[in-house]
Order: sequence, then structure tokens, then C-alpha cells
Amino acid sequence: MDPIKQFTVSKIGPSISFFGHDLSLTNSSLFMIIVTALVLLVMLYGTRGKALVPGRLQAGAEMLYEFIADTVRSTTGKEGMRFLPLVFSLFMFVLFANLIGLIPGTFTVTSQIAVTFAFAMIVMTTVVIFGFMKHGLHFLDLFSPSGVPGVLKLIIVPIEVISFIARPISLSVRLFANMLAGHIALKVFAGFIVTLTGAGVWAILSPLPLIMIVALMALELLVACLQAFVFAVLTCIYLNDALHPGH
Amino acid sequence: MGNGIQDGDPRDAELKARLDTLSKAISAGKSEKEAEEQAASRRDDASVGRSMGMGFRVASELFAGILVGGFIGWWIDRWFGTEPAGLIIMLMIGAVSGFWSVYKLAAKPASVATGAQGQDEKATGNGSPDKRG
Repeated sequence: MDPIKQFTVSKIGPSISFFGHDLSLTNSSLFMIIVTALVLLVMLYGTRGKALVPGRLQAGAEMLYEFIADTVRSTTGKEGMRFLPLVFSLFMFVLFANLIGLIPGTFTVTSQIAVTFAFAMIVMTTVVIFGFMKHGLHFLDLFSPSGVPGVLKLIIVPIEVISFIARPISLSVRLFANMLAGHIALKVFAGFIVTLTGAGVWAILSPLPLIMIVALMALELLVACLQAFVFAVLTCIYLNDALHPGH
Repeated sequence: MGNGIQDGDPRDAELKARLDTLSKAISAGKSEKEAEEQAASRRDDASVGRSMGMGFRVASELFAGILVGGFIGWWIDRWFGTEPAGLIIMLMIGAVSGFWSVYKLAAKPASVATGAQGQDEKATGNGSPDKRG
């Protein structure tokens, strides 16, 4: 009945040690493997037929692809399409991890800040490396917008630097906090049902939290898809900064 | 007046025909309106998703700005031994940068802020005050 218990990472199977690092399989990594396998399955099996008139799975796979491709194209332009594999992989992984986490008894990979922060750092590292590769030191124009007088620059530049450093944090915390809060809320309301059923006359009230859970589940479904989409859009926006800094 | 309807039989039929066409027109208009309303509610659903995404972004930008500012200030204090000054100043700069990114988010036309939207919004994006965007 502890609403936090669902987030504990525990070892399963034999413990593997690799040069002193503990690499044994945990429930978290197991679900990462499941998510990756499901994404691969949907995309490979879905596009296997290459039918002119797509079936249900193929239509779904194509829709997801087109959706992300359109997002990347409209945010970063044609140049940004080279980042489509990165954005699409991130989006699919986050989407499937969020959705699988909604099935009772599963582990939500994206409710761990370590996972979401790693994703955010992948994005920001790509932005920084690509930005310096493409623009050299002109990438730093990102921090000093053109048309700002000298005195104001003293204030604007530190603010811009901090807001750049805050990006990976806001990117990871948003996804992690949403998933965490949603799952805790679901568990708390589920706990209410159990408590109420065992509380004598008050058991009449026990359907109320159940209705609440059904409503929350719908909301969580929306949030799961929305957060995956927001993550992909923000990845595009940040990559756009690497392509066209400071203008 | 009461028996005026009964004696004019041809006129009665004429009226009936007219009534029929009118009611058909009304029902056609109604279904058109219903379809329009359905489309509008679907648009509303999409915009609910968009504004929810926007809300989450605003909240997390603000939070992250303050967090990063505070963290940097805390480390400055630890390195230079300037006990509360670094934390206070950096916390304020962090909060300002959080608000600054929220301002940039809101000042942009919706198409840039949420990505996937079409060109129609770009055209109407009423000249953002943010010249960098």
C-alpha cells in the first residue's frame, strides 16, 4: 500500500559484476529491454508488408513516423532532418515506456530521473557538439542576442547562460515528475478503495475512488502521449538552436 | 378563420409541400451545424493537449531556472566562502532566467512554441516582440 514502492529498482536474476561495476539485470533494465523490443516489433512488423493500402499496424507505424518527421521538418527545417533518427528513437522510447508503465504491475522506466536526465543529456551533448562543429565559436552567439546594447549584455548573458544550463534539467524533470506524480496519484486512490472496503459502513463510499481512478487513468493516458510529444518537440527546438544560433 | 383551411384543398397540398421542403432545409442545416460543432470540439481537444503541453513547459522552465541558479550559487559559496551572498544573488538571477525563458516561450508565435502546427498560425503570428525567435 506504499505508493512509492512501485518505483523501487530491484535486482532480478544472477548478479553480474563487470570490472567492479554492478551490471546485474534489474526490473528497470528489464522494462527498458521490453520497451525497446516492443518499439522494434511494432516498427519492423508494421512496415514488413510495405502494402500500398496499409493495414492497421502499418498505418499506425506510418502515422507515428510522419508525425515526428513533420514536427522535425517544421521546427528545424530541411537541415534538421539529419536528426530525425535521434528524435524519433527518443520519442518512440519515451512514448512506449510511458504507455507500458500504465499497465498495472509494470515498471515505469521514465519515472526514474536517472533515465530522463540521461536522455536530456544526450540531447544537450548533441546540441553543444554539433553547434561547435558547425559554427565554431559563433555558437556562443546563442548567449548574446544581436541588437542588445553593451550594458544590457552584462545582464542578459548570465541569464541566457543559466537558462541554457536549465534546459536539460527542465527537460528531464518535466517528464520524470509527470510520470511520478501520475503513478503516485493512481496508487493513492487505489489505496483509498482498499481502506474504504474494510471500513464497515463506509464501504458504500468505496466506488467513489474507483470512479476517480478511471478518470485519472484517462488523464494519465493523455499525459503519457503528451509528454512524449513535448519531449520530441523540445528536442527539435534545442537542435534548432544548434543549427541556427543567435539570430 | 376556423374553416378556412378545410375549403381550400389545393392550397392545403401546396402548403404541405412547402412545409416539407422547409423542414428538410432545417434538418439539413441542423446536421451541417452538428458536424461543425463536432469539428470544433475536436479542435478543442487538440488545443487542450497543446495548452497542457505549454503549461507543463512553463512550470518546468520556471522551476529549473530557480533550481540551477540556486545550485550554482550554493557552489560559489562553497568555493569562495561567501556564505549567503552567492546563493541569494544566483537564486535571483536563476529566477529571472526562469521568467525570461517563460517570456520567450509566450512571446513566440504558437507555431514555433509547439512545433507541429501548420503554416496558418505562422502567418497570423502577430509580430512577436521577441526579435531573436
